Amino acid sequence: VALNVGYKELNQGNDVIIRVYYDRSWLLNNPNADPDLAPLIDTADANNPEPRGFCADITNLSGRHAVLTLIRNSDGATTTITVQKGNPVTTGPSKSQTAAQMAALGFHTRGDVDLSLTG
Amino acid sequence: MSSWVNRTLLSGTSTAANGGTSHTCTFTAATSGNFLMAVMSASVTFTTPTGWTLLGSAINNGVTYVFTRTATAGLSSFATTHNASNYAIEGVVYEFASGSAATGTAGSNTSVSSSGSVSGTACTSLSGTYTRFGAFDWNIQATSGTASFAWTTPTVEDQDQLTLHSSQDGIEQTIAYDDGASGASFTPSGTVSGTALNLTGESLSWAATIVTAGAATIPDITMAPMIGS
Repeated sequence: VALNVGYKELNQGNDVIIRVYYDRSWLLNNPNADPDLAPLIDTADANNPEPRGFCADITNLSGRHAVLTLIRNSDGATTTITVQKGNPVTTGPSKSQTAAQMAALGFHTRGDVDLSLTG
Repeated sequence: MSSWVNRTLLSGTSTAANGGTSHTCTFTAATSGNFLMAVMSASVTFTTPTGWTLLGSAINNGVTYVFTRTATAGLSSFATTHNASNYAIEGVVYEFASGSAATGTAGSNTSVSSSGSVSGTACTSLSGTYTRFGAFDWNIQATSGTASFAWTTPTVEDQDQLTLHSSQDGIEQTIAYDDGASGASFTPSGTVSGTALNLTGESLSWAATIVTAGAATIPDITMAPMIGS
């Protein structure tokens, strides 16, 4: 079974932390399936590090310059945003997203979305 | 010539699957005040070892972390806990002379292809002269096969290791560096090949200003005028 911790994460020094949560029970129940088909979810799972009800949970504790790119693997489209200060970020273009909001952007499963983070 | 004081390629009980959810990683005993950097990869997550700082990480199908700290006298191990049991891990611990430190802003991504030419994400906000580092990892679900990496940037490969496991996922980790680098940013890149790879990998890029061990400081010398000049 592939790594199935329940989220993708990019972390810059425990300061800028980007997580996208997926349903880890999906692969546990389908151990031979493609892990990329696990559905994205809003996490309230207490086992996860930030169970705050978001799917894309975006944090920038210091407000330092950080640039996040969301990659939509279905067509290669990219969305690049500057991550503003927040824990979590809840306003502006870099605000955290629910699974429904992610679905509206074309992100439905673990494999639909990839992440890139730079300064 | 590499710029580190010591380098430990972790092996044995430091990295082998052990049936449990933790590893104690042992490295060459460090000198107090020196700068330590541990570059770790696996198909399980790691907790940040006590006393260490997370410089950056990327987690998806596999993981890569860079942890740093200032050494205490004789420090030679750290412990870390994983999210699942009986996985092998890989890693290298570097020791640099006192005064060395991370610099710039690390880059990371979760979208590295498992074949052909690949790129990571840029490490930025760099200035002056520094040592640049790049790392890639790939989760390995196969119990046999090959994997290897040919670096383009950085250029000096320091680690390219595939660990397979009969019942759990394995890992391919590769690390490269360049001393004396300059420029405001760099993007790690190279070519991955092999038969054991089938999931996307992760990448990290980071940099450090390195004090060269034993470098003599040349004092200013005021020359007395030569008699008769």
